[in-house]
Amino acid sequence: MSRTVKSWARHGLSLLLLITLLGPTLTLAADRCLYISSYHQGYAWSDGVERGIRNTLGERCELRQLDMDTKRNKGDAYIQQIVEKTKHLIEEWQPNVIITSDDNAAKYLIQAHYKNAKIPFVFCGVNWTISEYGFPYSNVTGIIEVAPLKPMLEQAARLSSHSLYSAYYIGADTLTEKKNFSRIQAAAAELGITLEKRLVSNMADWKKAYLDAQNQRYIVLGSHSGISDWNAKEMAQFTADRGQIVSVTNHDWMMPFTLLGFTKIPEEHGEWAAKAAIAILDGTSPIDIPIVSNRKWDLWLNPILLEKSAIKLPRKLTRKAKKVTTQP
Amino acid sequence: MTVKQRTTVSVSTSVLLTIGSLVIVLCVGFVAFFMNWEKANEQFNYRTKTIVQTVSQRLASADAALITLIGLSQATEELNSALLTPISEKLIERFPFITSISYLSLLTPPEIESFLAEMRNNGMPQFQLQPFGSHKADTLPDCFTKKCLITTFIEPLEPKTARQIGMDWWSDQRFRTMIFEAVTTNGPALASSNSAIEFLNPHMMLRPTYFGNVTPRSLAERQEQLSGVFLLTIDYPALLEFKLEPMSELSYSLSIIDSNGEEQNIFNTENTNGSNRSLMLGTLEQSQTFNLGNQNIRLDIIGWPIKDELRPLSVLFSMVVTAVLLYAFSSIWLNRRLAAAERSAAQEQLFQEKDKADVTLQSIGDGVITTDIAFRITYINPVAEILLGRTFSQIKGRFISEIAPFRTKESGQVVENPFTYYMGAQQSRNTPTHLVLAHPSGREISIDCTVSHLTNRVGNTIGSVLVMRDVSLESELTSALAYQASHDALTGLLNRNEFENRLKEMLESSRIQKSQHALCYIDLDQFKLVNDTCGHLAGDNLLKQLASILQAQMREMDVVARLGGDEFGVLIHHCGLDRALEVAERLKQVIGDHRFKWDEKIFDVHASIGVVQITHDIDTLSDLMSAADLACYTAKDMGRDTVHAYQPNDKEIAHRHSQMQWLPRIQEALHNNEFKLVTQRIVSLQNNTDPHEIYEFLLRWPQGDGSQVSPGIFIPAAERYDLMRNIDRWVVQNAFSLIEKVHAEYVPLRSRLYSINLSGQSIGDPKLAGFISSQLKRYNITPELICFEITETSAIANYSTADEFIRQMLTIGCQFALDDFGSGLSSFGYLKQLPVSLLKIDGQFVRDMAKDPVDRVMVRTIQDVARALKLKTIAEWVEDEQVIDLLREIGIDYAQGFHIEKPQPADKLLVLS
Repeated sequence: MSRTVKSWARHGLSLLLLITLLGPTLTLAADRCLYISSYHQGYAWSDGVERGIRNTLGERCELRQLDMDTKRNKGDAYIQQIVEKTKHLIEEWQPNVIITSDDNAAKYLIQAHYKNAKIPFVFCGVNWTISEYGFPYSNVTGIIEVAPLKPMLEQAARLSSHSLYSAYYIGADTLTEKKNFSRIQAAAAELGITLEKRLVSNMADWKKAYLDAQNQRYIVLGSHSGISDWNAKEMAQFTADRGQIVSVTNHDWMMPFTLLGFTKIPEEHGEWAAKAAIAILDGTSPIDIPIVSNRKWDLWLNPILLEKSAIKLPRKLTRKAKKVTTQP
Repeated sequence: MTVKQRTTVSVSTSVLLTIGSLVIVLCVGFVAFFMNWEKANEQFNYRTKTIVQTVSQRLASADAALITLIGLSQATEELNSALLTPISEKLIERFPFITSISYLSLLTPPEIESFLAEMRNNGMPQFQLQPFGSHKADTLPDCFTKKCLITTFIEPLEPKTARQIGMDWWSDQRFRTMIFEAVTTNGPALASSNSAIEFLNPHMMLRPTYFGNVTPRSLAERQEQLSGVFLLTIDYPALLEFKLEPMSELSYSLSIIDSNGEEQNIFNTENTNGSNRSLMLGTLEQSQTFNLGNQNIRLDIIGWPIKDELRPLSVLFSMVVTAVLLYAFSSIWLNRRLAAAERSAAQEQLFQEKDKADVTLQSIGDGVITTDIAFRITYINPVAEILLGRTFSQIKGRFISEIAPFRTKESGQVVENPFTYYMGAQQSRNTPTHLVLAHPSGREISIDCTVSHLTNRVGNTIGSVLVMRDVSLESELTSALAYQASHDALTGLLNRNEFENRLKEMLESSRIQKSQHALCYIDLDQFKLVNDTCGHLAGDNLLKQLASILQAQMREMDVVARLGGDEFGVLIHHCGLDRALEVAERLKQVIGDHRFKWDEKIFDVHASIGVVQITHDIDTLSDLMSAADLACYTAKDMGRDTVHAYQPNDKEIAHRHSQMQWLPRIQEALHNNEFKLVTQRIVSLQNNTDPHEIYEFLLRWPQGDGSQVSPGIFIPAAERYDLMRNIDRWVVQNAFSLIEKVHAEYVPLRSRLYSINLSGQSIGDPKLAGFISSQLKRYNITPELICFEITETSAIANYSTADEFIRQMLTIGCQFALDDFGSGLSSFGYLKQLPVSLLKIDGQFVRDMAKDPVDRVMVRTIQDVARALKLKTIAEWVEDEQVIDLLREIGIDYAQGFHIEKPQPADKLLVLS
């Protein structure tokens, strides 16, 4: 055998060996994306965000998901435990990029443990502002969740009695609701409306607050998440029977009990976060991706409440709004 | 052998045809290519027209999108994201070449403050304005003292585009100028940024927006009422992406030509296949300018026909088809030309061949007749004319059966059609017999024919050919040879071979049909007498006469044959033994009644006839012939002129048969040297006789058990089966050997003679004299010591040969004695002719002569005759002294007998001496 042939044979064997050794490595080298949800699957908002993430990421990276489930588990011990678990997963799996949704993940995970760390984060669903978490960090970008307050309050004002200048905000007695109320109250103030809060912990109080609000200009309904005995069917019937003034909300899950909804779109957050993650995977530094806020919202109308109330809505509104077709 | 010479095309014709064909093929290929090129050009023009229209529509669509957005801004009180986002999404979705839609708000410092507050209130506390292009952030404070053009909306809002939010465009002079131009023309403006901002698509189209619901008419008013700019980024590759049919490879070039005529190339497609393009083929080009405001955008389209458009396969196909057609036409033309030439040559050759064939047919020695398929004559050659005795013109078109009567040679059966006759024989693989053709002259001609079919090219029979050969001469010769092979040349009767064949057939017939036949074996008595007396010619004549006599006596179905010499055979069909004996007796009778005359001599002719019944229990032909032979010789033994029928238990036959049994034993004894010689002395009765004593050699056959076979038993058998010559030669050779030894040992005191007996067969052997002479020399024996004894009968039976032999022996010195004189014919006439010197008187006269006066007279008479003839006499069988005395008294010279000496072993001669 000539030397040339021997040489080629040697090179061929070396290449084969290299491919054999690097094969698993190359497979392992595929991009890994970790999605950490503050809440749990089955929670409408979180499911929408997840849907947007998954649809946008597609096959771009290997996606793993961890639900911190802090909506249903609010104890510090639990939070501590789930955060440790999450950290352990991050250290073990070494994702290329981490997407978080909603405030708890930003607060307990990013702010607490990964400020200016090497591993990039993309947050979404952080309510209203990032200032309280000190963002932006060098390794963090994301999209802020802002509700379409101004359109909602302006529409409510247009449809209600112009002789009244006060309105009620009814929601669960939770930190989030308090935060929301503050934002809405400020926005309403710009329109000359005094917004009062009625944050309750049970359904009876909620009913009482709702009945009390009937003599206000309009009602802003916050989330019932946090009201332990919430009976959706009963409350739908209650609001249909007793609702006589304009009620508005930013939460689509509150539409069975509300006349008009100005709802955020969770998919917008998921899609944006996924696009940012892809840009990071493609080499863009998180600091070069500006933090933005969502700008899409949707208009909903509850025809049952409309029909049972004496409220008259302009035709352009009833033509444009989506109709709530399912009842609890 | 015919060599077919193929006509060929000349080289110059071939070259011209080839060159002409090539030129035509190339021209066709060029025309096809040109047509394809023109078609490709047409398609290019058509498609570029489509492209131009599409690009024009797309540019118009982009402008229309801007106009739509402007209309929207004019129709709404507040232009916010909620309003712009849906319509922007739809526009981008509808026009994929639009990659983003931005709204740049021309904000006053208070509005900028409000914008910043809003953005920061929306959760982005660190939101800041960004510079555009190469401006630095420190120039931004200007925005708070004068107007800035800030990106307040962009769709899609993506990580890539989000950084444009809050970016100031007004700070860029070039961009500002472009906006002014758009304001001036109240139309769209194109921009191509050379900014290094990675997140910004450099290709843009914009239209300004103005405060109020209606676009200001005057330039000054538009400048005053300018509220912002809608800006599209355009993806030119997408703009130039068409879903068209496969077509020429196209290269696009877009250039913006501003109002000053300055041209800025903004886009060029990359075409990696340029290196593969043939410069010889050239390019297809199309250019179109679109007007956008006070700018023009020019689209240059350069195309290279792709392989499919030029359809090289079709060009090749047309060339190949042309070549094939040319080849086909050329081939047809050439083939026709060649065929014509070959046909002419073939016709010439055919004529030559026909002439040759005619000459050949005229020349050959066989008659040739050809017919059509219905066997009507179409041709005959001259030999056939001769054989048929008719000319071709006389028989043309007639059936051969009408003009030539044929029949088979053997059976004489008429053959209507010799063609079918021979064809049938060929098919059945039988050998056809010769036919006989009756010539008009009456002569019959034996012919041998062969028949063949005449077939056309495809093998269909179109006629037949009959070749006739006159085999009359061969047939006659064959018949003659066959006759000679089966007939006796002398008598004309069947010969022995044919007789045996017929006998075989008869024997087979007897076995199969259980029929009875008879065989007569006829042997003439004393036929030699005629031959010896009158010569062979007489004998032959006698045989011819007897053949006619015998033939006349028999039926036509019976067989008469000459078996050899004087022997005849007769086969009588379907005949019992009694009837056969009657026939045999009649034959014997007619032979006996015949008087043969020759040279005034008359001979009585007689025959001995053996008759054998041919039955199915006879095994073989040889058995049958042996039985007939035995019966015949038995008849002879019974006294000649007799008929004897063969019977398996016949005594005579048995005796004869027993003789036959000795035959192999005698032969074996000779071969094994079993015979012994004894001698018996013959003494002189007179004084002064010479020789003084004679020793006669006698033959003995001792057996293993001490007994001896009597010569009276085996000598007749040897004589019967012609073995005596061999025995006599054995005796001569052994006797000479002994004599040589005796005389080598000593010289006899007395004169001596040795006597050796010779049979009649030996005397008749013409080679015996030579044998004896050679043996005398071999053993160095003086011939005068030897005397041969012959009998009267044997001498007479072979008289002429015996006479010749005796004279030869006498010449060299040997003597002869005539033995047993007086018991046979006792013809004194022969004594005068036979040159013998001794006469042995038969012992039956001597033995009892003392008692019988007749015997004494006979002895005395013989002695007297011998003395008169000067012959010495020997008396044998002397058994007492009284006879010796009488013999001496009578004057007999010698005596022999038991009284004198019994035979002694020959070896004793050595001792006695």
